[in-house]
Amino acid sequence: MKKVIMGTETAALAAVLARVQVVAAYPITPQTVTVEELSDYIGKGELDAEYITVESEHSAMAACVGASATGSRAFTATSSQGLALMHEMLHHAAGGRLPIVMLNANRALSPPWNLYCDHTDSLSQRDTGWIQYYCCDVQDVMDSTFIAYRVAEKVMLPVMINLDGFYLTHTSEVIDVPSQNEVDRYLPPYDPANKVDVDNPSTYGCVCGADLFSSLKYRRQMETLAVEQAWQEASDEFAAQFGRSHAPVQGHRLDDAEVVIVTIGTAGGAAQLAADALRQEGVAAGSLNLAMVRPFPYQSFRQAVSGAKHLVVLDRDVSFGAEGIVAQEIKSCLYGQSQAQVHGFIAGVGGMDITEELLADMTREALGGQKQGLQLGDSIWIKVLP
Amino acid sequence: MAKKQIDSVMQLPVMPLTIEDMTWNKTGTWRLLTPVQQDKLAPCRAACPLGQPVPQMIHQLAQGDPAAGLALLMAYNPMPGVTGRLCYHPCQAKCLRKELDQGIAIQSLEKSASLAQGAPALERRADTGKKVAVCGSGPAGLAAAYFLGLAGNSVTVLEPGKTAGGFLTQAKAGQLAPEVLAQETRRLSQVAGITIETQAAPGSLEGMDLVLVDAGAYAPDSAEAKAVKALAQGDAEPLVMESEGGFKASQVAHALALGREAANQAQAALGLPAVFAQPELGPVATVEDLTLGFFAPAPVSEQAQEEAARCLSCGTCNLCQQCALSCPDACCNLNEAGGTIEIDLYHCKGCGICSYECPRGALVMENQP
Ligand code: SF4
Ligand code: SF4
Ligand code: SF4
Repeated sequence: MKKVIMGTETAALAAVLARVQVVAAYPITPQTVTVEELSDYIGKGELDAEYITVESEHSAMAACVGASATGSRAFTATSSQGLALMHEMLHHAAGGRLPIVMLNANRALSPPWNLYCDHTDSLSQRDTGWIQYYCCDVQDVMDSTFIAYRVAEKVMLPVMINLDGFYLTHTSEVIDVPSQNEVDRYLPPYDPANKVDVDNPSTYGCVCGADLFSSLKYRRQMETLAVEQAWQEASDEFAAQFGRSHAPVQGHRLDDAEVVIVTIGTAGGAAQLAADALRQEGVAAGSLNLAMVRPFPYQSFRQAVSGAKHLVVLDRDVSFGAEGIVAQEIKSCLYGQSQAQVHGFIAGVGGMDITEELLADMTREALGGQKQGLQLGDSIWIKVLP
Repeated sequence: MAKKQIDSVMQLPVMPLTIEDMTWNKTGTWRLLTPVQQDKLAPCRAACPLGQPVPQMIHQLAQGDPAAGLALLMAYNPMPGVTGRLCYHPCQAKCLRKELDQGIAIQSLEKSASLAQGAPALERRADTGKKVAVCGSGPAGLAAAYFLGLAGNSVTVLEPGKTAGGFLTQAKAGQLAPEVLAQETRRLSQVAGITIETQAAPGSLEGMDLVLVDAGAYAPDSAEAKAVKALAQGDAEPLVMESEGGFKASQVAHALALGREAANQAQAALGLPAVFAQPELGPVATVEDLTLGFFAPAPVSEQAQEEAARCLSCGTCNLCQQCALSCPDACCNLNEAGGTIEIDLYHCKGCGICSYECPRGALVMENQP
């Protein structure tokens, strides 16, 4: 069924279709509509789930941890400051190997206060062990939620679905809403091997000495690295059923591309247009939407850019004292594997629009054209005061 | 159960959880303080002139077993139906439930227990071969006779008047009906195996090893006192129960306690061990020992079982198992046969949660391994 729907509404509808059983969430701009919609669905009896009202995001995640440990499918949604407040529990969810799915509406962290799109909130949670997926459009929000549960429950790790604040949360698009039957066919009920069970008691999150601690972490790392493959497979199966693919790495005109514009989130659309425009000028340009940041899709990424000489990397974030986080990740992925030059741009933080022209100009600068921004450390900052 | 050996990463659980049985982990070796189930003295019991096990008796009523409650009382008190009607109930003044809403109607509950049918089978010691006479059948005399009977002596109560009961026969009818007094007297003589002779005449002390005299409640020169003393005439060294100023009806529990104490003195005089001893209980429980928030407010009830259920069982374990529910290591266990709470010391690590959670302060942490 086709529907004109906003990103936040889509996230709620996707949770309903995924038949989540427990929702514990705290409203925050720009995610609020998702929480309102979900409480409506549950209140009206259209979703058979428990809504746990909480006093903070920390408690929201704690409630999801408990719910998931008892074997229910748990969902939450947050943004920015709320995500930061959850930090401790994010480690708990991933370390506990609990397949929770969370929507995060990417928004700048204060101070100064700013409600608009920025990726520092989720990227600064890279090391918590969550799978991180960044949506490029509203259809992606719907579809990736199903893929997320399917992967999470297979590999026993939580997934954070990221939506660019306002660009995606508050934009309505025409999307295809699958029927409940179709979703059920793709996503079977959650039936974990272990769950809190009074008839079969175990201590969850028990104490563990140095003798087994590294081995447990080793196993978790092994299973986290395998997520790239698991997601790819789940995406392929999704594509086979629904005709839409949502792979960890999504390329556009990469086959012969010498310069590749790399983005995460909604900027992927503008990057495709910029690549097309550059092609008109005779530049062998392509674009790459890095949908998965954790685990980093090493194989697919290396393969996708194997022919490139220049990578123009957009960061809507900064790791203070280093550089843009995505640029850092890419350098680490390509070190010793590729001769391509990585040009890191910091642009679009705090809600600055990323347009096709801006990305094309950044690419021209990378290829020796006119300067667009100010070099600071390893990054070029766009649209800052001189 | 032995610790499971893990030889490869893939044998580890995916989730960080304990696998199989964890009893191999003897966490008891971590313990510094040890939980001990130890009752404190309930303030109602402390205030009772007879020291009756009030919370235990109330617990039986709450369980719907008044006969068991009666048996508990009659180990301390031969006439619970009388105290349950006449006593000035100092217990109620001390009831800690008042800190929550309203105190327990303890005296009515005592009366309820006394209404249980039949006579409890209390343990009666083996026959001593000793013969004892008790002159006067006031509550003190009856109590002395009752405990001496339980001690295995052959006891006869001699009452000059028509009815046993001493000054209780003069109680206002509204307070103590003659039938009730008769029933109580019958029951106590049945339980202790003693004989009561009314309209007894002087000169029946032949062959007695010991004679006791109870004229306590009467004025020394009254006709009643003289009649009782006349019965003891001829005995060289009678054991006389006395109290300064006598007893009012409301003080019947004190009279009974006097008789109970006299039974112990008589046993000593006969060269026999004491028949009654108050058990050693800890300090009196105070409101600080209780977790008042644990208990729901409830109005006073006319219905005995419902009213009994309001008792907080101060300082007295009633096997509520809150400790068992709270112990993170499942170390507090109910021993159903023994009716006690037992601590698994192989695994108890001494965290003290059970003690903190016991809503009545009946589980203490002792400074011992
Ligand atoms: S609540 Fe029960 S145990 Fe506590 S003082 Fe009152 S009657 Fe006694
Ligand atoms: S919690 Fe209950 S069962 Fe445990 S010691 Fe206290 S009164 Fe007894
Ligand atoms: S709660 Fe359990 S482990 Fe802790 S002191 Fe009590 S019995 Fe021991």
